[in-house]
Amino acid sequence: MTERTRTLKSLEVVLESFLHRVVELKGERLTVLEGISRLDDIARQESTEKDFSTEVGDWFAEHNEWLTEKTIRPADASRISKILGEIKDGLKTSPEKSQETEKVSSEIERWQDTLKSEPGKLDSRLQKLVLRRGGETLAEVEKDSILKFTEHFESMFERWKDVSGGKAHILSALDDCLKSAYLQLNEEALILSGFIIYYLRLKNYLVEPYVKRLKAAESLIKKAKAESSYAG
Amino acid sequence: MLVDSEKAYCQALVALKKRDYQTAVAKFAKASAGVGTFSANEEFDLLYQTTQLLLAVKQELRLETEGFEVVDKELMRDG
Repeated sequence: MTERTRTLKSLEVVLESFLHRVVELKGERLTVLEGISRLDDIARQESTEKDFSTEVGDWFAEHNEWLTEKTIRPADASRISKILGEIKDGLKTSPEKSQETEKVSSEIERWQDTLKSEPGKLDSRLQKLVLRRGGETLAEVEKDSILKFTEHFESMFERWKDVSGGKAHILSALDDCLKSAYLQLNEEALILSGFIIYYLRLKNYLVEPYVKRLKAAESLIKKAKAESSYAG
Repeated sequence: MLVDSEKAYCQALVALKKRDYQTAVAKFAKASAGVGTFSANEEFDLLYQTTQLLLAVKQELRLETEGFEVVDKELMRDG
């Protein structure tokens, strides 16, 4: 294998892992978009695999939890409602009137009614949650935060064992950690890098270049978080 | 129904999830051809260009491998 091929191979791995990570970050949001797109396909009658009513019925069955869980946003609800409206209009003009189409029409109405009222319900649920959280005792909150930190700490220690294994110097391990934080947007690697840098600073190492890399990784991770909360 | 460019973007993301990069690029191209929806979307640009770059890298790798295969075959034939 030539040096060029090796470089191309490693670039291929970095690019694939970046794209894979982006898709992973989108997670649930992507599932919702897939669902809406699928409904849109049905409305356009692009799929001829099954009977139209069966397709719509299957879609309802598959996405029924959207009506009870906080998976979809108000904008999604309005999109779905609009597409369902178009499907219903299509059913009205269809010459075939069967028990199946009647059932689908009434199910569409049920979905549209629920989707209309759901954003308000979600808001009131959120308000209740805030009030309930206010009532928690300090001891409970602290216990939870200590448990969470302990879990992170243990996981960071495992990561430290991974990155430091086989390395000759702590700076090589730090370099690997910063790469994970920057390239894979890994928050745990970021925290571990900060911890190592602070340790090195106390031991009078020159840490400025590492601090710069830490800040660059931190800002990328913050940006990715903000985008993922925006995109879902 | 969904706007075509919106739908194409969604399909591109689904294709990325399946690691079908050819389809993803085709769908990104379709989404970018829509009326201005994604013209100022940084995330869209980043994903589109990264996928294009990945395909270009894969193509280069394929050419390198095929190149080696041709040389190998010629060496075998010519002894």
